[in-house]
Amino acid sequence: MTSRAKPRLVDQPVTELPTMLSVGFEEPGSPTASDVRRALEAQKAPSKKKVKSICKFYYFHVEKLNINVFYH
Amino acid sequence: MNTISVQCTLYPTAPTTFSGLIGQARPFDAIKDCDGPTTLMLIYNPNAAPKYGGFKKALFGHLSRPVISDSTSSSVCIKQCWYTSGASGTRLVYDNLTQITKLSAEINCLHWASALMGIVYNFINKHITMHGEPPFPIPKMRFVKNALAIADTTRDTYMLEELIDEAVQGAFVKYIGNGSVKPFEFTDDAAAYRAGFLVFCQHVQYLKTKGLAFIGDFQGESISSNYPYVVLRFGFFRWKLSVDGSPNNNCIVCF
Repeated sequence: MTSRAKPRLVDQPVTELPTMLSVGFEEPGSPTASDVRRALEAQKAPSKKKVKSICKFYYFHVEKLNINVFYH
Repeated sequence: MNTISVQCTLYPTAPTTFSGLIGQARPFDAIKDCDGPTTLMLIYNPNAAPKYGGFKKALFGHLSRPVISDSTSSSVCIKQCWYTSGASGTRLVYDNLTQITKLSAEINCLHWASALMGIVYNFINKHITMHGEPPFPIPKMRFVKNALAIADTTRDTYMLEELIDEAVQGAFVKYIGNGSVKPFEFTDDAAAYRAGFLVFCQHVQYLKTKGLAFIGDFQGESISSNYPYVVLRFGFFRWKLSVDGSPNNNCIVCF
């Protein structure tokens, strides 16, 4: 029985699209591949630190009441 | 009656464009990036049998005034993420802190998906301006509007979605699954036409994002079978293709 590999992100050259398909899609001022990649890579789940800071602000009563919070 | 009214602060997701998302290039914050918070009552029956999806459960209710939808309807779908308890084997909703993280990611997917659909219609409109109307109908599709809602007293956290009423807006159709970009086969010509249009959308998105992103898992309801206007409920945003770099492979990963 083979173990199932976890899907992983694969880096690939992003600037080399098939020329035929790219015709008509390139416009002056349109975002570059690097621009798109940078924006996508910023969309990661918030860190625990970030979540805690949100929680501190919005769930002040949780700390006040000393409620245990479990992460699942 | 088991219906309850919960005072909530609602954070409706602000509309955005693809260029706006690219220009900002920062993590999404469902609270800071909202279209102005508002306080209202969320009215629903917490004892009603929920509909369970793969990781979210849905209840139906309504708001004290229509906020999410453009229409006058105040009906909403109320969603929370769930997990299976290891001890009891029952389905439990996550605590509020985890809920806000998971639901924010969901809302962000819809945020990006809406922007990616915007790319397609910009592309179409530009060509119509240059070459005139095409001799075939162009389906009008959009994603459901949504908001994060936090109860003022308990801090219970929900994702609220504009409700798609199947009785009014037609049957729910899964056009393209989440395991493949190959659309399902339809005997209904109108549904097949819409599925074909969604394939076209994926190709435009793929090319416009330089091969980095497109929407997968298209599902939704059509209002009319002849002149399709579809409200998409799902549509997980997938990015970073692998294998041969074309949209026609099964290896798609979402963030």
